[in-house]
Amino acid sequence: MKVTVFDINSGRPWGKWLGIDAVRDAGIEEFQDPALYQGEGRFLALIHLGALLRDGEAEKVAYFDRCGEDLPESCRHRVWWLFYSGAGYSDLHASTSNVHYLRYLVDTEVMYPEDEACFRRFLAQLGSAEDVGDGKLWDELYPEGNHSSSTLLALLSVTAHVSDADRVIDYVLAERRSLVSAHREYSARASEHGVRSTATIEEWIAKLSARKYDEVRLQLEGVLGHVPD
Amino acid sequence: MPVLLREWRRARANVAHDWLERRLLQVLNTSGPPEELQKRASVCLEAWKESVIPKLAATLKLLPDCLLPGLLLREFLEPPDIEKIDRAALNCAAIPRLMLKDVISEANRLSVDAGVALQAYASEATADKRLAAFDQVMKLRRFLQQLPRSVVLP
Repeated sequence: MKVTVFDINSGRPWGKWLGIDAVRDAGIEEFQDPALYQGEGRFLALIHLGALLRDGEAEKVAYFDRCGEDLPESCRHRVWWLFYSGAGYSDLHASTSNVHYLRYLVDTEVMYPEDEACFRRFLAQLGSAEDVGDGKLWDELYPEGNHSSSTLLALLSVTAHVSDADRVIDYVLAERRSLVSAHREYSARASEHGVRSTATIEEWIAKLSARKYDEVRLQLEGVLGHVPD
Repeated sequence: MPVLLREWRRARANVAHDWLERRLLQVLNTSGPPEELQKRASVCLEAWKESVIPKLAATLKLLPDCLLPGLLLREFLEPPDIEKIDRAALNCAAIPRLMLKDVISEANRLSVDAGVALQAYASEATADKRLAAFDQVMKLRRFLQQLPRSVVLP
């Protein structure tokens, strides 16, 4: 099935990341306009609102939910809106299955291979002939395991056993990729368990930088359990 | 996920679920006339010797290494630190009242008990022996299921 992808207001190299030639640019004002969704197939709008949508702004979520529901019947069920940001939305949850707020961040220039694989799997699923309207489609954007978060939990748990724990944590902070993965997996697992996840990656970084390892460890344990899965 | 951990999950599921639960326990849990019990007891013993024991041995060979935290920490810590942490983990409880370092011996003990019970059932296929064999196989299966799915943290 044909999938038309729109890049709303970001300029990120989505075509390269998704492995497709045609990604159409569109402005913020356009993604709610039914005129954008003319033609056959499905439509995916990758929406970056920047400062216009902060994590936790639930009233805006309700507004976008209504906007999605207000699309004409002819296209409403063929349009998917993915809101993302440079920090991730850990505290925004859509009530309609065709709208999603990505829990992990999307960098301006670089996408990690594992994230890219998730996005490509998601796009392939969207382009399949299957019925994808039940909201589970968004699960494709998240990794199956939680290896990075388990590793971080293990590291934090053993800091008392190693002499240079601070150096190790500094390395984790500097090598941000694994920390980003850990936070993404943590958020996914929290959501899966119905746990309210309010810890942003910025808060993690601040706590780890301030050597408040126990606070991050407790958050991870609360979601993963004492023994990482 | 580390390869060893993945192997452990697969091997444990194969033995505990596919063999002990679905093939042995289901049969041992079914009553019937004496001649039928005798036939089933022989089938169970044969399956135990030819399939379960080799698979169980291969699974236990993965322990305790597959549950040591060093598996997750190799990228971050130096070998001396990892050894120290792994040693600490061996003295931690893998399941209540059983340290990780003692898991293999306990599995072997339960395995021997199950084998003896299955042998006794095959020698004399009575209802009592069937239930005794069921209990012992169930103990082994429950023990395997209780073991951690992932590394033990000290």
